[in-house]
Amino acid sequence: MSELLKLSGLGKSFGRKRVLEDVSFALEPGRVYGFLGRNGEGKTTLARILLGVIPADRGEIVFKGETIRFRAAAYKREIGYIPEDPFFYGWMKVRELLRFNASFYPKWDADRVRVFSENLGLDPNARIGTLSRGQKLKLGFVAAVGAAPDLLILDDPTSGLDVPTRHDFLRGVIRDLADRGTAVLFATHMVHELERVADHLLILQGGRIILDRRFDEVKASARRVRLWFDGGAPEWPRIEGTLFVESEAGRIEAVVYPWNGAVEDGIKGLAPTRMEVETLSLEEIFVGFVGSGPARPVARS
Amino acid sequence: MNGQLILREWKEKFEIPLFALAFLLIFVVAALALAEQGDVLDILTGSILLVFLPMTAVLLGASAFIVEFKDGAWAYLFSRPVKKAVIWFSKFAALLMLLAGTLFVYYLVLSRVPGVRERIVEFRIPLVSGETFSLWGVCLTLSLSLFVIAFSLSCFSDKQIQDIFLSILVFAGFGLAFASVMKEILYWNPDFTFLIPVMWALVAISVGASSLVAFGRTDFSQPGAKIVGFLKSIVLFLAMSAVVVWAAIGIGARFRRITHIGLETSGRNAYIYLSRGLYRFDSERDSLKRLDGAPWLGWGGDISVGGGKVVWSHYSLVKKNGVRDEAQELWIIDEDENKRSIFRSSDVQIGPLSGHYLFNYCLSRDGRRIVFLSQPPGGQDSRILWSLNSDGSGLKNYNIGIPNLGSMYCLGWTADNKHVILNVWEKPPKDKSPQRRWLCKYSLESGAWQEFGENAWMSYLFGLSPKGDKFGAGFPLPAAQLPPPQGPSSPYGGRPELLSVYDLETLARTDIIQSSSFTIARWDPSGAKIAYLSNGGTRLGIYSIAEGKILSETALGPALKYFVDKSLTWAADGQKVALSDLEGSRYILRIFSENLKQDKIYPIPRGETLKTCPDVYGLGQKVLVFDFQSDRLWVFDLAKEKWRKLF
Repeated sequence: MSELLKLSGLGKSFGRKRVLEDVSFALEPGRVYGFLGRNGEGKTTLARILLGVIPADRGEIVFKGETIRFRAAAYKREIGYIPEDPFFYGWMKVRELLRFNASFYPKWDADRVRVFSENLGLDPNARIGTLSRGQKLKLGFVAAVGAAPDLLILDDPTSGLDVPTRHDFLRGVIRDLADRGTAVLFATHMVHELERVADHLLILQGGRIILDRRFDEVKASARRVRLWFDGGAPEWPRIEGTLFVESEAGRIEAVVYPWNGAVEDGIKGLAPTRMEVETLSLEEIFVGFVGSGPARPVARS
Repeated sequence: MNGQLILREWKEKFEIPLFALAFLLIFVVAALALAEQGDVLDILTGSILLVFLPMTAVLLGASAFIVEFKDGAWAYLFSRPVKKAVIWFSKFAALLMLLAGTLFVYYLVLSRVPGVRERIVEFRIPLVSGETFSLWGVCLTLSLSLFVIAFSLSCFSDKQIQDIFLSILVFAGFGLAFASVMKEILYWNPDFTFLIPVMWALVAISVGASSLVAFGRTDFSQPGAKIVGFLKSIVLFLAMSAVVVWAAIGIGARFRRITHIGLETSGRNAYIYLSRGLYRFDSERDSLKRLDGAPWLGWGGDISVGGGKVVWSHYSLVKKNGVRDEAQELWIIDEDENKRSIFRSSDVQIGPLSGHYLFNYCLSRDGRRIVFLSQPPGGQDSRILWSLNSDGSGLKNYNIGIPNLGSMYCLGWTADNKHVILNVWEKPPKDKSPQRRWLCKYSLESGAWQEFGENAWMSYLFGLSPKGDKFGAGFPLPAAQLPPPQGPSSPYGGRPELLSVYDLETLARTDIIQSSSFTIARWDPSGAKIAYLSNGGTRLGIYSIAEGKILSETALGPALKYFVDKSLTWAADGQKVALSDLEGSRYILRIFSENLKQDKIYPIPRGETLKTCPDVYGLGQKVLVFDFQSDRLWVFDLAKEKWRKLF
């Protein structure tokens, strides 16, 4: 499948702080990309760079085969964006904002907007300033999908939605968009939500993409291993793919990705008295990759 | 620009101009009610134009990005498929249109309200340089500048009041900077008044461009980066603006507005000295050549021609080591067009001329020596005569022993290049009796002086003959000799009634013509004939020195509204006489043959707009017409009968 968006070696610093070091990945049409990273890792910065809000210091962005320059704007007609806090002009009415928004997008799908607005219970005459955060998010969804974008960037917007709406949104809106060929880059901290919709997983850590794999492949290849020993636990050997190791008296717990025969043989070589191997949830995989303590750089496996 | 963005901006900000227009209604009612109270109306009108409208402008500018800050709509705005520059320009254009519309409505309404209309039209704010700005001009400059500054700063802060005060501070800061440039560097020279709006425009462009650059490079999440980016840009833009201003002062000086023209003729050439530089007009080739660039400040200087050379002076005002040095430089061009500075006198320089004001440079007929006058520091009425070789050597001052000498002016050199003719005044009498004046032939070799021409008139309008061997002047007749109505009751009140010519060798006086009220007399290029205007400028005549009689005389028409309302010159190498004259309400050039029979009339360009008579100078087959009222110089080709504007 052809690439819709390709990032190569993207870097961005704010003053002395290097937020993005060397970000490279590609998105294909019709797929939902779960985009994970701890707070402050640069997910929002990356979204702003993709939207041309701020320039990257280095690297290249290719959208639909064309290199995107910082000051270009036309390509944004193909991109929908829903930020974490979808603020609009408070003095406008819902209808006014949608009309204002429509003027920027040649492919604006008014019928779709009407259907979504009705389904989400948006009052077209309501003043935006009076809407709740959840209603504003719904308006943001409608404004984004109305543009019939080829790429939809979601910057952790679902946290403000009530459970049924979030459920509808994930199942209905995102999946529907993906099925129509839209690539969805979905950054969220509600990792479990991704399990329902994600086709692919991207994890951003230390300014780099440390994981760029199909979701089912990650799910199938990540394992937690628990080992028990008589007496003291031996030193954990250099096993490729070790994401996490915790050792205490007579016991070792480790997360390994990818799990394969060579890894299993290596672990068995430690001669544990007991060994448990289990699959992981996405949340556990994410924690395995980025760690549970303070943010720390993890070598890409 | 984006129409939707402009429309959105209008919907968002329309309350500000609406409020301003509501205030206009109140003001008009107040102005009509207080029409009789001039002082109150003065204050009201001034407050509206100089305070209220500029404040409306700054408020409008500072409101540009306030909603994006307040509603947090930056992400939404920036993620639309529109370039950030388009967003910036659309907002700018939208608000500028609102401001322009408000100002336009104010102008339309106020210019129709009696009492206010007159104040707006007539009231002008004086500058130190002596020029004035109209109230509306100041209002527009203030409003637009403040608007641009406030708009530019508004994307950096979410506090509108902070933007407003900062804009006023920035405006005031730049105002002070301009004032100091005008005062410390340009010395309030009126030639550079044009720089004030240029500087404002450049600052507005610099601030606006810096804001645009910072806006384009950063986003709402980095206020610090935005401000740093803005400061970096503005330093760069202001530096570029300073270079532009510097270039406008220096390199662009030749394109400066002409504020004065100095003119000297010699043979077939005219030397024209103006704030753009020194030019030579060759009447034979009909060509104009720039001999020298503009003096640094373009202030008036002297020009003198003689012996194929030209000398001219100009001021240079520089500040060195904190000391302001006002220097005068004297330059010369030889026949071979070698140009050099031969003399410099400055305030800080130690020497006999330190602090003196130098003027009235006069080149000898052989071009070897220059005389000039100086006014010593604090000596308001005191004049000292100096001479200098044309290579800059041999500076010498003369202690003229004329008793009770008040002031003097050098009229030129005699034919022998050894004497100068001075116009001399005694010190003003304390008893209010008439101040005595006379002419003086002064020997630069022996220092001897000879008085002549007591109470002579027309020393400048007649004066030295082309060869320097004669001097013509007009004299009033003793009251007893005057027949009515030219006697004491004459409307011209003691004007010269007698033309006399002095032989400068012997100082013998020959009274040549007696008539009423001579206004001007001109030597022909050979010095053999004199053309004159008498009877208050209503009669033109030609007198032959050799034959000792009037050759011809003709009436020119009724007396004019102004006494000296004609200028006279010999033209066509002494074969014709040219006269600038008033016909109806326009000035014309009249050409007479030597017998004063033929009379060709050519309207002077823009002659209908002139209030005073332009001077004419015959130069070969050309006539120069100098409209000193508006500093324009025209040349008329007698053969082609065509006008051409030189300056």
